[in-house]
Amino acid sequence: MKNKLKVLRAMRDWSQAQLGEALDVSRQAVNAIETGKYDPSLPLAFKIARLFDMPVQEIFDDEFEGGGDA
Amino acid sequence: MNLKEAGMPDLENNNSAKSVGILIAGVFGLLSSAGIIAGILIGHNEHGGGPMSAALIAIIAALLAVIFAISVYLYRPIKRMISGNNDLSKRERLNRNIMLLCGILSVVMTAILMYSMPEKLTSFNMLGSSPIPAAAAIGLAIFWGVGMPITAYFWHKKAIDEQEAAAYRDGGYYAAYAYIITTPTWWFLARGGLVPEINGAAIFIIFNFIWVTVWFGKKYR
Repeated sequence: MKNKLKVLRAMRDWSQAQLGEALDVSRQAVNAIETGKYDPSLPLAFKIARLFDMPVQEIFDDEFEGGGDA
Repeated sequence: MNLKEAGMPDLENNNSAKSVGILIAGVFGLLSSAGIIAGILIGHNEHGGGPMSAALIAIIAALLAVIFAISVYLYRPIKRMISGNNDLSKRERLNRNIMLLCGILSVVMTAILMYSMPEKLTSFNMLGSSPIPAAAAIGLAIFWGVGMPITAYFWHKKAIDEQEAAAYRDGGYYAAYAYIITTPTWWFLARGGLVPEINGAAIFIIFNFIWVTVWFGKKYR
């Protein structure tokens, strides 16, 4: 899953370690999420969204092209 | 939010995965070299001992040189790991300390096993089924049957995050399939008289090796 975590972190001039500390995860976890190698759990995704004060779907993109009435 | 200014390097600019790989390879090289030297010395004694041939001395000297070279090579990453203590979050530091504790306990358990064995130690019979004194057996059982689960529980609850937990679960998944595939295959071949009987220690080592390899591979990828 694509995400904007790296961009958002860079905009705030935070290191991976600082973001990891804020989210209570390791640098490896932040790096794995940023590079799309690991998709965070829903609780962690919402934690990230709260931290950046943005909706989850604006940070994470599942590249789903469909739409219409659901 | 209150974020401390730590100036820590990001992992895409960092070679932490490479450092871990170097450390693991280095420790493996050290243990292998030491094991070969021990094997040579044991073999020499079994053949009556006495003065060693020049070729044997040369081989041991070469292995000692390898041990020295690996030690020098490992000095910097180990020093960096120790001096980089402040770069780690509390959770990462706890994780690292538990791993170190497990390493120390493994060495203690191996030492107890080595010194309580009645016969000469070789790398093959250490995980065999030869009898050991009851006191040593009780000590080892407490280490493994009580100490390990408590440490593991604490590690899972306090030290690792969800990414490492997922990597660990993936490792267990691959290891379980390795077990399911390897054990009956070996058993069938052994019943056909094509290979020696199943060796529980070998299965245990294969299982753990695959688990740890996948776990570390996915954690530091």
